[in-house]
Amino acid sequence: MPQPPPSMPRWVKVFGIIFVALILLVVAMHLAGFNFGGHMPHMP
Amino acid sequence: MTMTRGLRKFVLSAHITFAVSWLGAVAGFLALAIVGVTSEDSQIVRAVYLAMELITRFVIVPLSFAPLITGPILSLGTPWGLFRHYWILAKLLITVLSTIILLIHMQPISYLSSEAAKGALTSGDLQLQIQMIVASSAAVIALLVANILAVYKPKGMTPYGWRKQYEERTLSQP
Repeated sequence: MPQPPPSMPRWVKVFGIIFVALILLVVAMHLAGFNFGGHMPHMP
Repeated sequence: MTMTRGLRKFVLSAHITFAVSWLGAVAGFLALAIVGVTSEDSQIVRAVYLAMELITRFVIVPLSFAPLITGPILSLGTPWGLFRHYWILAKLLITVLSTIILLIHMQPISYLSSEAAKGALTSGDLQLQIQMIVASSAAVIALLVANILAVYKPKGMTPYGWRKQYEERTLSQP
């Protein structure tokens, strides 16, 4: 039987938290009206 | 499948070149984006957004796809594997997301370029111009993190990598 894998390193947890926070920030900005398309009044 | 030493060195050289060039090209884009907002010379501003679109289309986009090809080839052709170590997964995630976000931003970049070509940039475009600075700053940081991960290779094996390592050790023992 293989030994159970070691727990996830701390840097991976920190990376994951920052990553999720950034995704949430982008989604929140998008919902608040800062669209990726931005202000493009002349676009067809 | 393990690559020969010569092939591995070749793919590694290509991968490093593409990854570092991508970072450099985005840093150049960021410099242009800052000049586009801060310069008071309308000719310079027009030239900046025309250059930004050309750099994006012909340099940054190709450079963003190249590491997506060389990275997995390098990982799968060496004992590192693609899903065995957290740092490789993190790099892959950064590369994929950066490429997706870059492609999403192609439309506003093209819009700014066409408006600059017509000399029709107005104060109403400022939000979009600032968005270019924010997005390229975030990209520089993300690509810097990816390159640092590749150099430091922080420890940490995924459960999949752990299992594969156990299987290989079991197979190699008589």
